[in-house]
Amino acid sequence: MSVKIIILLITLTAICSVLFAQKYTISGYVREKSSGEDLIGANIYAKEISKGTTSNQYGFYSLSLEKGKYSIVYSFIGYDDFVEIITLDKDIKKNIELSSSVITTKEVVVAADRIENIESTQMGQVRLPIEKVKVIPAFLGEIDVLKTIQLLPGVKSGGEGSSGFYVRGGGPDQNLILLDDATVYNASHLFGFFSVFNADAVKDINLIKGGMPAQYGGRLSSVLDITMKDGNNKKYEVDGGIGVISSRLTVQGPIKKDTSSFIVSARRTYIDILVDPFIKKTAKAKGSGYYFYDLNAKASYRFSDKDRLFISGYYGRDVFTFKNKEAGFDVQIPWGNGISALRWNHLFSDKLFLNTTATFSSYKFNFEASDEDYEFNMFSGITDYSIKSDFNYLPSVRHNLKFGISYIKHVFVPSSATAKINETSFDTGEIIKQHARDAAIYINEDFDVNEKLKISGGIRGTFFQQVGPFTRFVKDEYDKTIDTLYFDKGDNVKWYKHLEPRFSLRYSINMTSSIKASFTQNYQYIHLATISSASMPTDLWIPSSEIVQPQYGVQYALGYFRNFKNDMFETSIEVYYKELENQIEYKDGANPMNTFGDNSDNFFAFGSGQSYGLELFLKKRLGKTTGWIGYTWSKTYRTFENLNNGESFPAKYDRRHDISFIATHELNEKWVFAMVFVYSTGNALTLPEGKYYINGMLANQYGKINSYRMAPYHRLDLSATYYVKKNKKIESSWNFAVFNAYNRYNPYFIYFVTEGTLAEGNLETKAKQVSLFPILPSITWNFKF
Amino acid sequence: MKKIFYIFSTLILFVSCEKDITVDLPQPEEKYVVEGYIEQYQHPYVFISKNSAYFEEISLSSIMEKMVLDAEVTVSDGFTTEVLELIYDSLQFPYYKYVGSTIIGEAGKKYDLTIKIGSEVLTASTFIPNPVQLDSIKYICETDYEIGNDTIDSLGLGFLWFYFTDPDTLGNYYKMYTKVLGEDSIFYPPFASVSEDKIINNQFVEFSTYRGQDPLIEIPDDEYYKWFFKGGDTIIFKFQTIDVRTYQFWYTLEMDNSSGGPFSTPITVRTNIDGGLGIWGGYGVFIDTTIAKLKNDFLAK
Repeated sequence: MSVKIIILLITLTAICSVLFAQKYTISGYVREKSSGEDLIGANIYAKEISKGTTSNQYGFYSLSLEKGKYSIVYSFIGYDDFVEIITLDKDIKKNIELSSSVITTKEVVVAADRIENIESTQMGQVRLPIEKVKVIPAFLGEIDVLKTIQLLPGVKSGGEGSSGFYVRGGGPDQNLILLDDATVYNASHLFGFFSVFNADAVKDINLIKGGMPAQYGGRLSSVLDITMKDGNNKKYEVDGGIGVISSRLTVQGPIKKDTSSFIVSARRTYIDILVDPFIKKTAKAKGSGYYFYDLNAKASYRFSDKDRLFISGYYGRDVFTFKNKEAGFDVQIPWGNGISALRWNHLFSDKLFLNTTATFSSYKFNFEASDEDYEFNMFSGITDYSIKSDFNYLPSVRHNLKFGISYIKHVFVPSSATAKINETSFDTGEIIKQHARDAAIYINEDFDVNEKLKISGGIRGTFFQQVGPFTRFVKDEYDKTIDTLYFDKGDNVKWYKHLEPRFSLRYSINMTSSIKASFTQNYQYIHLATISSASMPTDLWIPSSEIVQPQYGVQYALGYFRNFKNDMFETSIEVYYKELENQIEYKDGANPMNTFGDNSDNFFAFGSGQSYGLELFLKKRLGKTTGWIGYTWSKTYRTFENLNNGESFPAKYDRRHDISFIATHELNEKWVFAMVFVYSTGNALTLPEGKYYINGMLANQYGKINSYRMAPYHRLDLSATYYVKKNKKIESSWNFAVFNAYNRYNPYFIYFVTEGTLAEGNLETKAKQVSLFPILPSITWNFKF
Repeated sequence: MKKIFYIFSTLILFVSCEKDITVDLPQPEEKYVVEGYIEQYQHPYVFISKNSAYFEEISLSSIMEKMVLDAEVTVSDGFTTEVLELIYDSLQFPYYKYVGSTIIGEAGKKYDLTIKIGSEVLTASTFIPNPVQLDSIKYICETDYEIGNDTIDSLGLGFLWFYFTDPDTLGNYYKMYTKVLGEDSIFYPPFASVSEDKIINNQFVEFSTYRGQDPLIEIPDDEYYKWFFKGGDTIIFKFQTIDVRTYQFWYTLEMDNSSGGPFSTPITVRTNIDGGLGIWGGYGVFIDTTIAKLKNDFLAK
């Protein structure tokens, strides 16, 4: 309750200060000089009063100050500062273009952006401009946004061959992944070896792992907000890369110079095409293979400085084909996302900014099997239609008020099937769709109380409803179906509403150090059900229902931030404590595909989770050698009444220690070297401890859940990039990389095989460990013209 | 689901490498394992053994050594209580079982089991559901299955089909056994021997089954015809009705046995034994017999 009062007070103060202060506003857009791209998170800073702001996701800024003369500094990392002296005696519109600084190191100057980590109330946030990501060694030379964020403290990968990432003890479904404001449900290709984000089409990556502000919701753990490039609105540009297993090409340019632009970017792997000629035509599995492709496209149009329109889309598919000629058996498994977003920016005044977004997002997984006279098709997925309006009101330099509303219509398909034998089609039950509505309203205010204290508070009200058509199969305690309930189209099945307060503060000790604290409470109405130990494309999204309660999470975090040596080094210590309720796991022995005549949520057990940890971060941000070291110590537990005899057990991705070390070194204008080293505690897993004979079979007797640990994971990657001397037409570079440089056999999974037979009396059980990637060198040629 | 995982695993294993490792597992908690039956028209019988450590080598004789021969086993139907007697039965491995001589299983009745071993007491209770009548059973020859052996080829191989109407109440569970007269000494369960009526409730259904197998005999690849019935076989089909807990035990046991390999998730075999592992199951019974027609009779049609 007290939180609500605080928020109310903040809002009132904000309104009062607007009424009484006499202020003028300087506002406009910050853009990149050569391409006209908006710069997100650029700093705009009035030197005389040490006050400033940052540009928003659309490059817009607004700074309201008392009448006076100011030196306004515009800065963005990797770009030359731009300083202008203005006399503020009326409202001023100022669009600024920054030009990128030469690749070699520039003199260390104290620029405002470098103290962002000390200044803002936001904690647990990392913003990565894509250029910074591009020099880090990449798996087979394919630059990967998701892999890079997994190198940050508090963010863990599920290991090789697992598509999700885990933030501060939360599950992979608890991350809100946005591409141009549209939700991305499955962010990876090929079980996490590649992310769906094509680095050539991405402009900016913003990760929030704690202290989530109220404009974000619907997920418990984190927000990964990715912005696509708008396209160069000054000149045509083609860039691309040719790699060992994939190639990519991006074309961008103005539709009408300075006012509209487009970008189209495509990528495809071709290991299937490369390998095919080497497989004999008669081979049993001829025609089997794997590839993925994706396509990003975006266009933007500037009607005036007040109105802009963006339309963006993503479409990607992974396709796996498995053929067995002998058995006349043919399987095709395509899966992937389709996403589109239409966004309209409108400036009501130089202080009030509105963005309205309509999005469509769909994730589908298909399994098509056929032989001569048999066809089977199984599918699952989720489709969202959403619309939202976000307002940003900047009445003075001390206030930043955000408020808005959103509405999402979800359609879930938690595993359905059709079959055809000869000419007869079998309807194995109508497609088991589930429908839900999701609405939210929020307000969030950042308030500079005084020189030392800044607070940010917000509240989000959320509403979720599962609606018909729907059939509920009612179970007794032994999972026996005892009743069936039918709901017609639009009928209320179950609804929920909740309030989610968010609060954070920053207290500056001095110019180079500050303390931050945050509290967030979130509800999440959708769940991801994972059957295997790794997250897979087969995982199902399901809505909250009367059986599955909404996930609930609360996080407390505290951090100390300090910069050294004129901000050359940035350090932080953060601690967090998190509690999660209504977590789901499959019940023991559940078969999630067996949903005919059943509901997928009948297969779940429910429980809670706890997680706490300590994160250390040291970053060298300036100089010829840059990079960071992140260390996380954490504990993550789950407690389920019906699992493990009700005793707490470590979560799958509980990691005691997690270390990442990243360094890049610019030797000269031609060569840049980089390395990545990661170490983490082995994954937890459940293993059998005993066995027993019964009716000719040997049954496994499992030990406590996740009580066993695999060997630790560690790996070193190296890369060298050679920039070919630029000529007028073409700019190119060669990237040489080595993945897993010392050829560590990291465990992917452990399994057991039994050899011999009972009758012969030589039945023996052996443990085997499977590792995925040995040392893998790669070479990629990147070009731009 | 399993198939998908299997196919995915082929993809992943394409690039992976594998090595033997040593896994240090703790000793499991010692538990008694009960395999008890009370079938309609029959006396109850119970096998009792102990579990072993996961990496322990297992043979028929090591299983025999795990048998518990000094238990006091009592069955009660609410009115009559009897203590079962330990006997040696050479037809059914692991030979030593506790059998009753007074109580005979009746449909619609509940049976309690109490086992005392030293100071330990295990208890369980089960129910014999009413049997479900089969409409008919029929052997159908699958001429596709041809093998080099002329004799068997002319006999033909095929499945046993059975037809019945599931009762209108949800929650009927079935277990199947087959026996080929003159070849099988007892009834054996086929691969995947239990099913439920979740999708077939109150419907007339037709199913087919493989031939039941002695679980202790491995069938070599070149003798795969043994999975099928052949022309001339006299097939006895036992169609049992079981309660939900008995179903769950067999279902999880068969799932646990067919799983294994990379992407399987641990499946705990369920039990209805308080204080132990295994099953005390009640079985309603319907039996039907058919003689498999020879291949030529099928072709003549």
